[in-house]
Amino acid sequence: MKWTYLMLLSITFSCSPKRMEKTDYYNEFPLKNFLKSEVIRLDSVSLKYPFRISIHNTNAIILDIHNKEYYFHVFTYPDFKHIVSFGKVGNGPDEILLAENFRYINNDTIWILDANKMQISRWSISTSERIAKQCEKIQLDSSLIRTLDFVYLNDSSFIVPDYTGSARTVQITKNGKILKKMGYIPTDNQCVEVIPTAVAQAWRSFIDYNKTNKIIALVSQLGEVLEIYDVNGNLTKILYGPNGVPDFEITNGYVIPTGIMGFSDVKITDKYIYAVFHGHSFKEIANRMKKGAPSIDGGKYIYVFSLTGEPVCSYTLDRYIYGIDVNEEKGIITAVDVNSDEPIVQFKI
Amino acid sequence: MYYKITTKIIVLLVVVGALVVINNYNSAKCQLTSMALNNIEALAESEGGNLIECFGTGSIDCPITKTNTAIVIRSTSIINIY
Repeated sequence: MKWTYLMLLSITFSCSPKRMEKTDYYNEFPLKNFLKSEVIRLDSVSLKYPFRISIHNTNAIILDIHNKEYYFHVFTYPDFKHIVSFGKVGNGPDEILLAENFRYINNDTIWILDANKMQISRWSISTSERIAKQCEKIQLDSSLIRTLDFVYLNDSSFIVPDYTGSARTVQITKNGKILKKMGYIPTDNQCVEVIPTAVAQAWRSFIDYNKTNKIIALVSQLGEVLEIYDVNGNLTKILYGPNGVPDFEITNGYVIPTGIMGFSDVKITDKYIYAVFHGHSFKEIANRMKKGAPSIDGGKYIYVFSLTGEPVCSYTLDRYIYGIDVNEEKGIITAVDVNSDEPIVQFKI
Repeated sequence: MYYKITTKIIVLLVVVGALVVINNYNSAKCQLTSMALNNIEALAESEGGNLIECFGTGSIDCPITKTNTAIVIRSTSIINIY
């Protein structure tokens, strides 16, 4: 009889869905705070949809993803005087078709992701001459299908969220070739076996990497999921919020989001993980559009987690924001707001 | 003795079969749902119009236009999910 039980046991395990290891849930945060914004006035530049902001020493760069002329705008910091705009919108050799994110390492190295050209390019800026130039271009491996975010890992590689559904992240070389695929989408949705690319679309996540503590964090654009990995792609923690996994339907291989807008940005500092959370349902967004009511786009919450994924603090904001830059030493979060003509704000934490 | 072994084998086969069916149920469901949708929408497409549409200014990646939009919905020629 023993062999019968052993066989049954092994079959049961092989037929079970992927086990979600290192999984945790949160409903609320131990600390809750309210933050009031301070508007930073811009004198000469009009931003349409400022999506990302990154500050390095005495300069700030903003990515405006719906600007008709230039995607990137360089300012002095902290007084936000405009220096130069670059990354002309277009299909020319030095132009950008669809900028999705950038990594501001220093003024000689600003990495930019063009999702539609499937390129990561390096730019440099001279603030004294008020010019920006493209220095190198990396064509990404076409088997990545589509890349919507990235982090600069080291001099020889980047990490991007996977879009094929066969992994969670992909390490790519400076030549754009795939070095290794890491992890898997943390879902037991069986569609991942059948239509993996669609599930990967639904699990589109924003990514950040901190070189000091060498961790990678991903936050889901739909639903409410935070994932933490080490630099080798080993999972440390999956944390599900009250809104859970992304809700979606699949139509002809394409994903239709049906739940909520989740996170819109994530930043890892030396001490914590900060993530901007929206929580608006797509039904609510669609209804507002149908009625012609002004859209409310962005998140009114900044969630703070420990580097190991424990909820630490929830900040409720007095306005809706998208991207953030966190300066823990100075206790300042600088954010961009797509709803306002005064789109740059800061919060004291 | 012969009956005991035969019974064991039959029980084992039934259990294995049941487990395989349960395991494939969700996959099959996903596949069938997708196929059914494809068929319905192939008809909608043949009458003109896209299968899905993207509206507004936002940050959702529209798989058709490869631009950032506010919402993605099924084509208005068929039932709207919202």
